Amino acid sequence: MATAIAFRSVSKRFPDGTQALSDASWTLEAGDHICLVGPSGSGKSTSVHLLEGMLQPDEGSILVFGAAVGSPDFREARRRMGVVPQGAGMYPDLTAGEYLKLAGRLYGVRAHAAIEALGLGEHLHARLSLLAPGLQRRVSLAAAVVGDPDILVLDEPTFSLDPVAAQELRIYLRDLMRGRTAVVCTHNVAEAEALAQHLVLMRQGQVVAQGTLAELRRRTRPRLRLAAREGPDQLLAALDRLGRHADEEDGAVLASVDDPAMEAPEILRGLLEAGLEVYECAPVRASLEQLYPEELAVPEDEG
Amino acid sequence: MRRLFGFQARLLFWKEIRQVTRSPVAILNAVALPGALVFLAPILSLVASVLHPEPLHVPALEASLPGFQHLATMQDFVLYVSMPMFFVIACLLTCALIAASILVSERERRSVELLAALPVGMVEVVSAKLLATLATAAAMILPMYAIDAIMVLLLTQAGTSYVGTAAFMVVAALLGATATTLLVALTARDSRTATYLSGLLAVPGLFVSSLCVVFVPGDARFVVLGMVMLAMAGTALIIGARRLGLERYLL
Repeated sequence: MATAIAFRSVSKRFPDGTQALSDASWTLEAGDHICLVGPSGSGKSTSVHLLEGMLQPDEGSILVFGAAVGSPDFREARRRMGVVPQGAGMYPDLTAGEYLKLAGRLYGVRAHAAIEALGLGEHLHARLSLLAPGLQRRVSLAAAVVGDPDILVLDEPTFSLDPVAAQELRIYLRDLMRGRTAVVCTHNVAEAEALAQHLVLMRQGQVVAQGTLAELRRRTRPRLRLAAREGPDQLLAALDRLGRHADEEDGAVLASVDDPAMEAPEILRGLLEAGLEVYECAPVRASLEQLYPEELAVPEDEG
Repeated sequence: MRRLFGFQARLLFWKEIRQVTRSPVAILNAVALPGALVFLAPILSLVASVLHPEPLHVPALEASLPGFQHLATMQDFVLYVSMPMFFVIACLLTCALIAASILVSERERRSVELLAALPVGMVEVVSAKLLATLATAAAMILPMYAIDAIMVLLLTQAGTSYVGTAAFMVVAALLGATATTLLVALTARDSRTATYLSGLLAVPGLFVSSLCVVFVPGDARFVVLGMVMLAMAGTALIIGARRLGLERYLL
């Protein structure tokens, strides 16, 4: 499979001294979906601006379909990429139709198909700043797909949308991402889990982990979720007496184990023998939601 | 150079012009200041100097300065002292006010992200905005200057040399003032800071203009002043594009 995007040891420092990206490397094969996950300031949007060609890397290189960002070849590669920016300000003096027409002309196509695909026909004469946030995001999405791009770059696509608008947009996203290479930037791990197979976890400009969700899950220690009628405190005390490390979470107790299938019966037996009325004992597969704080938690001394 | 005036830059240029013409504040800024400084003040001064021709009493110290040596009447003073300063001030401030709508507000409200998402480079985005600033200011100031020029030819003995060299200076001042707005746009994140910076950056321009008026005699002052303004344009563009970097506009 051909490589669509390659970040090779990319570093970027802003004029104010902020190290926005530091030695970041990741690749994306054509047709795959990758998600850059991380909190604000982790370097996701900087990565998008570098992909747009609006910023140039200080060190390293970024290749889009083999063309280095900043090279003469990149202009053609850039036209094969559609970008939905994060929380862009909207023009008070430009209508949705005018913006989409501009996008269409820059891609050398007519905007009708994108307008129709995103159901924007009746909103074309509205000023961009007066549209509802969900519609504004759909206009951005329409501008991104107007040129029928091979790569879609989505920077926090549902950021600041209410749950209904976000869910509605995700339906469009899934449809438009089908058959395309896609980069999704988000701090919403549920969204990352839903939209991409490959994940790049970022923190403070660095790539801290990457791989498929299954690969990343394997890096976390398996856990058993336990609940007893006596409550979590007595359960924790009993587990402690059995020499097991456990933590309380949402009224239940999560006990770390090496092999759930081998150790669960022994733990359960021990708890029952201790007189506890255990009514739940199940292995917990680490979702990305649980992986996220483990991978990205900023040590307290780093603020 | 091809990118500055290429297809993409032209599309973005017309987008900017469309937006400016829809902004009452931008239009008011573009009309009011030149209307006062390039139209009303020079015309009224010229008419007054014709209706009340009076000799000019220049103190001995000032009369020894090259720029004042040949000023004999109030009309000379209007033509060679007041009008050049009116023109320079009008160009500097009008461009700064228009740039506040075209360049600074886009950065302030983060709508520049919408442009960054399109297949254009920062060179096209910024050059289209600078050209739109220049075009809007020129569309207001040059017709008013043309009226001044006609009045000068009709009411005074200054002649075509005066009108031609003054036109060169006005065009150069527009270029210098527009280029200076790039520095403001790259360093100011909001309109208030941009206003302060524009005021600050206008000071050297006004200072140098005053020196030209005082030390360069006759029509030559317009040529020297024009050259100074072109040098200011070149310096601003080099500092903006090379030293500061156009990337700042997005950050």
